[in-house]
Amino acid sequence: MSYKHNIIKERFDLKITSANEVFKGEFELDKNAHFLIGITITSDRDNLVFYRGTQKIQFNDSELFPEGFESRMLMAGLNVSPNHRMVEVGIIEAGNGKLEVWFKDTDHPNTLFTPYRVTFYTFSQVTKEEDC
Amino acid sequence: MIKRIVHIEQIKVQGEKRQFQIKLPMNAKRLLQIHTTANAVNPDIKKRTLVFSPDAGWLWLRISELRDVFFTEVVKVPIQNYNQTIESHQPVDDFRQGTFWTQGKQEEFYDITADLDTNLLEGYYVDRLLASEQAVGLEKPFIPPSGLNEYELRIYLTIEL
Repeated sequence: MSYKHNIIKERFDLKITSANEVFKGEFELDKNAHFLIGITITSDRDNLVFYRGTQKIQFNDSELFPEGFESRMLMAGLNVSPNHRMVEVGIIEAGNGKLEVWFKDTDHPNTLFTPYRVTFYTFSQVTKEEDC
Repeated sequence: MIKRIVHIEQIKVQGEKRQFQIKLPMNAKRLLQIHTTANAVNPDIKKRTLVFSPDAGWLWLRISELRDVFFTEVVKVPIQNYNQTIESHQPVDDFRQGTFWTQGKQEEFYDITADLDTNLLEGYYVDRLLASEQAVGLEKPFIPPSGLNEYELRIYLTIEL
């Protein structure tokens, strides 16, 4: 976790250990993270997440991304400026922010399964700012 | 309030022409964003000579009461260097070993403002995977092994409620 310009960035890991299964992760945001503004996904096996991953993401019981939402829609390569890698979700009041993720691994012919890690980064504001 | 919807169609036959409906929430006011993907197999995955994504199919969407096509799209097969159009920038196998990804941009939704007077969208999709493979000049047309010619067409909608 780090603070810079009012933004708290946090990292949550989910280990995907078997193919064609759903893995649930439940993460709590920092108590000072009052407004969730963005999410992004990385992995130690980008190709597996790119082809195999879909997920549902809920924040405080409200759905951010529905079931079947492909993980690659939330990924970005190095070609993207670091300041533009997060996917904006608006400015959502966090309260005691609880992020729930249901990550589903599905077979794809372009990749063979090997255990991999999916990392979710959240970006939150301490105080509400339109321009961050 | 914003809601995201994913509609999934299973495409099982090459050249398939499919009509379908997407049911939206009753309180949907307008469409704000659309994005489409198809997780078809890249026909050139072994040789990796394709720079551009081949077509997976063509899609039309219309609002049923108006009988009006408001969105069309050529759906592409995903390749790992998607959005990358300069051949000389293609790396030597940096991706398939699971090493850090240096290609590609973030996928973006297509912004649209389509007022809804119904909660039903009509879609029409034509699979073009085989035809596009022939069009890009592969030595032999790609004939996927049994079971690999099925894929999912996904239509992502962002809706204002």
